[in-house]
Amino acid sequence: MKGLLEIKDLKTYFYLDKQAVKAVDGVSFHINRNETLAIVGESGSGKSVTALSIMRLIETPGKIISGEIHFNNVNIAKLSSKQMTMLRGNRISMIYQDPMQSLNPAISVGEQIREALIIHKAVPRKESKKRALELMSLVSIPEAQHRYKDIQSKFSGGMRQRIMTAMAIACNPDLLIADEPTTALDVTIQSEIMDLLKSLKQQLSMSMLLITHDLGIVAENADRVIIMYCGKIMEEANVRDLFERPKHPYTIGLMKCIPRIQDNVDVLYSIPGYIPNASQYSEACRFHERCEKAMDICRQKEPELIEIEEGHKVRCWLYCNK
Amino acid sequence: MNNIIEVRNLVKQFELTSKLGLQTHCVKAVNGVSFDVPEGETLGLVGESGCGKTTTGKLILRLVKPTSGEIYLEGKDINKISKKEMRRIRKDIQVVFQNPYAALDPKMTVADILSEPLSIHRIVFKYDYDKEVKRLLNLVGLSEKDAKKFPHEFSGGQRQRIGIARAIATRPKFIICDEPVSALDVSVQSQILNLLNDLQKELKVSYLFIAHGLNVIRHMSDKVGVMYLGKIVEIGRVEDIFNNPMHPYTKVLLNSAPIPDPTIIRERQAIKGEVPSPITPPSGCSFHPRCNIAMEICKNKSPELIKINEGHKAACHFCSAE
Repeated sequence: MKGLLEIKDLKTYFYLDKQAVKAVDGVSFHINRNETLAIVGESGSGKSVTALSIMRLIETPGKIISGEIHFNNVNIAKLSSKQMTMLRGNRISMIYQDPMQSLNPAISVGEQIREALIIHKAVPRKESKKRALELMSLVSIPEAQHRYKDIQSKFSGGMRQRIMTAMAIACNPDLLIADEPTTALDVTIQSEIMDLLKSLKQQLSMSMLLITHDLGIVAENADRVIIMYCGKIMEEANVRDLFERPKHPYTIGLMKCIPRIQDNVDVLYSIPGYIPNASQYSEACRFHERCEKAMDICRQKEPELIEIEEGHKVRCWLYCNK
Repeated sequence: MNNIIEVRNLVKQFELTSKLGLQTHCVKAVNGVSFDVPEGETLGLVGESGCGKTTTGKLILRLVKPTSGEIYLEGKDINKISKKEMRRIRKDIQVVFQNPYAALDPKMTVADILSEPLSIHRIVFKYDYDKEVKRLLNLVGLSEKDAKKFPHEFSGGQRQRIGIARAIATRPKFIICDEPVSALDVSVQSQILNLLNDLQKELKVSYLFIAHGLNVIRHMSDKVGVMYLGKIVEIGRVEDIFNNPMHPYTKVLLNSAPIPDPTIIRERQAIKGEVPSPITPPSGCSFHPRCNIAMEICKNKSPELIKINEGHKAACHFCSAE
């Protein structure tokens, strides 16, 4: 296996009204040690479901249909829920988009941080409080001593995200999954949290799976990038290649359609049409209806994800003959 | 050029009362805001959450009554006129809301949603409703067949188009766009931004464009006002604000937005702390606790908006001389 985490042909479907919604439909990728992999996609592209599948937090009506998730040479798709509980929050942990809704409103934040230590590391209670305070200062919460007993509603959004980060790194995990960690936050706070995650990643030598829709955050934080669309990987490349030589028409469109802060254009490029309904995917390429370069074959058959340069993979018929 | 909207020294205080009904605190959500919106132009308001940008929008709509200050719509003070007259004027000021999932009545068809403003303001004769609804749908890029559908049958971007169609139904002179794209996916955002720009050219309508994304503000605005804790700290033409920002807060905002280009490695200007609570705003210049050039005078004296050059003003003690 390659690296720390390797996913092979993961399929996670949701069964609604007897229809299968193919949220994640055959996704394969790997994350190396100390690497930040970003998954970029719009809503419904399956990026969060991929993360929740790795955490094994998919609940009915959703189900992991097939695929392997190798983490540290263990296929966690096959682990029992008890074994998974030992791993979750310990070796793999996750921070969520909305810190307002992810913390317990009734328990002090200090208690919440030390919970993981008591459960996973069997740290004695006295010791765990000391450790929780250290973690709070590690994520730069001022006056940690005084704020240990405060509940989450006494903190601002950015501070709550710091607390969630402290909880996630409490057991020194190998992999940190950050699902849109800054989307709910203001710009000035956003850059602080991203800087914090970056420095923590280095200090604790973690790998990071960063899920976002903001290409600016990707450019500044990721080593490699995966572009997802409708449950499939459309392009995979290291961050420089992706921004300098994007291949897939969807990636190119995404990059062209964000307004830039440095320069102004009269008319923005926009990708025509809308994201197709997840329960009605056809055999064709899932992007063909919105693609400017669509050919006949695109309407009939879905292309494979092929490697066109070292480390640069694309799922598009345009590159299939070369 | 005539100004459609003129706002002068607008103040809104919200009183916080304790459970016994005693007034305890007072939040100055909007604290002395003045600006003009000329005919056919867009004023962008940008700022972090809690800075009062949405309240400013609500005040102009007269959904919230101001504590003091004047709002002139084509020279008429909308707070001095009777309710009856206000109802007549409402057709000139419309609004597009942030969340298209919550802004449309789920039990009404699109045709109902769009004919309601037509009938209330008697825009066209009753037997012309169908024709007008079709015209509006075409104008916002939806098909005539969509008139019979319900909001849940549409995607987020399409719903926002319906919201826009409803806003332009009364042929307004002024539309308040309150974060119209922040709930939408990136590939759909640019469609909506282009649509708003096209409509402005076609209908000669003015916008107050409220957003927190600086790239979106840059793309949409002719003039930009930067708000911080209820005050405009800098206002000017879009080129002035983005190419020659004067206020330290504007500089920080511009500096914190991530740039989607991995080759640019920026020296990030660190900003201290978070937005203070508007209940207990800092003394003097409200930005001074976070400002890196703050001096003694900033703690004691609140700076006025000072003219830097034609149409460009900033409220900082240190940006007048240069």
